[in-house]
Amino acid sequence: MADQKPAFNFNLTPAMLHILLALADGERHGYAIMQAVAQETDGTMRLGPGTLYRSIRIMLSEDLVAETDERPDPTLDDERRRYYRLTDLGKRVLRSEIKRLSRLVQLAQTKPLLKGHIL
Amino acid sequence: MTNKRMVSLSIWLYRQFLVVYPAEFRQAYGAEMTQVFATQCRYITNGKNWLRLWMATLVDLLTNSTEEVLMTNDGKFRSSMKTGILFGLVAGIFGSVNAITSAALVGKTGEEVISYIVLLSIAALSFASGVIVARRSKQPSTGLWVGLLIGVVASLIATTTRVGYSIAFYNILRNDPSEIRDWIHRGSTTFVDYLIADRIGGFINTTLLLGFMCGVCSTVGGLIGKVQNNVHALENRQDLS
Repeated sequence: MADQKPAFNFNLTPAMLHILLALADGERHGYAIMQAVAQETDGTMRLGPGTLYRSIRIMLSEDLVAETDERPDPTLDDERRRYYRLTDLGKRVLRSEIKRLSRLVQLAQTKPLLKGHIL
Repeated sequence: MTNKRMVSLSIWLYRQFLVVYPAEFRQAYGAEMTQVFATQCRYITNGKNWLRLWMATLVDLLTNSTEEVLMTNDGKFRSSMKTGILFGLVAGIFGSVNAITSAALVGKTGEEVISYIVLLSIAALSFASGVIVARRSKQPSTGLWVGLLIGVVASLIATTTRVGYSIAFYNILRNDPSEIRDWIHRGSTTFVDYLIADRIGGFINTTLLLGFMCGVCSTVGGLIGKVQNNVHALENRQDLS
């Protein structure tokens, strides 16, 4: 069930994939997503506010992510911040995309030209 | 400038730059984007990092706002761009007149007068295009894009004319006192070397100048177009009531 191919015809950009990965750890607000992506990619991918919110807008409209209804405690965090989480469809799409990428890496490893260049 | 003032100024500037996004997107995410940018600013400690942040932010703004405008306002945006190309062609003709005018032909004062008239005409064209496209698309930000397009098209036409003129009338230029003065001043080895460097530099300068000037004029035009739209809407509402 978990690895069923989702009925989804949509190309994820690298930024969207990284946002979905950041949200796989739990709900986060915009700046926390940016931080997580920068940290997880060792700083090789730094999302600007435009890329972040444009990706979020598209993924909200495709039902891959959703805004959480709960607001953080005002004493702990800025209550104006919006938090985002993965939807069930978002989780399925993420799993499917990672599976596709790992299959691609496996295929690449069989090519003599790339031997020793891929971990 | 203290870091605190730099943070406030950067946030204020960023908020103004958000005008390049479509209104719908800006209303939905503008506040959050500003908040995220503000948090980024608060972690900056030195000048090098400020430069890096602003460079990345400007690229982010330009690429994403262009895609967003194209996505949400497809038909109207395309027709606005056609208007921009048309106005750009006319502005290019004005620019070409300026490009082939030299002090040797019309005298120093004549050259200056023609150059001011041409600049004013291009500014007026950009302003008018800003009003037209903002009224048509109901998005003042479209004015900015159209203005930049006019600037680039006009610059391309004017500099191409200038290069073509330099090749076709090389012998006249070779004896033009102001060109010879510039050649000596620059210290280029040959006159051809001087001409190539001058025309390339001229293209970059003209594109930057016209891009900036047309962008500002058509943005102002776009804002006035928006005000006119609002006034018409108000008048219509009053007529209905």
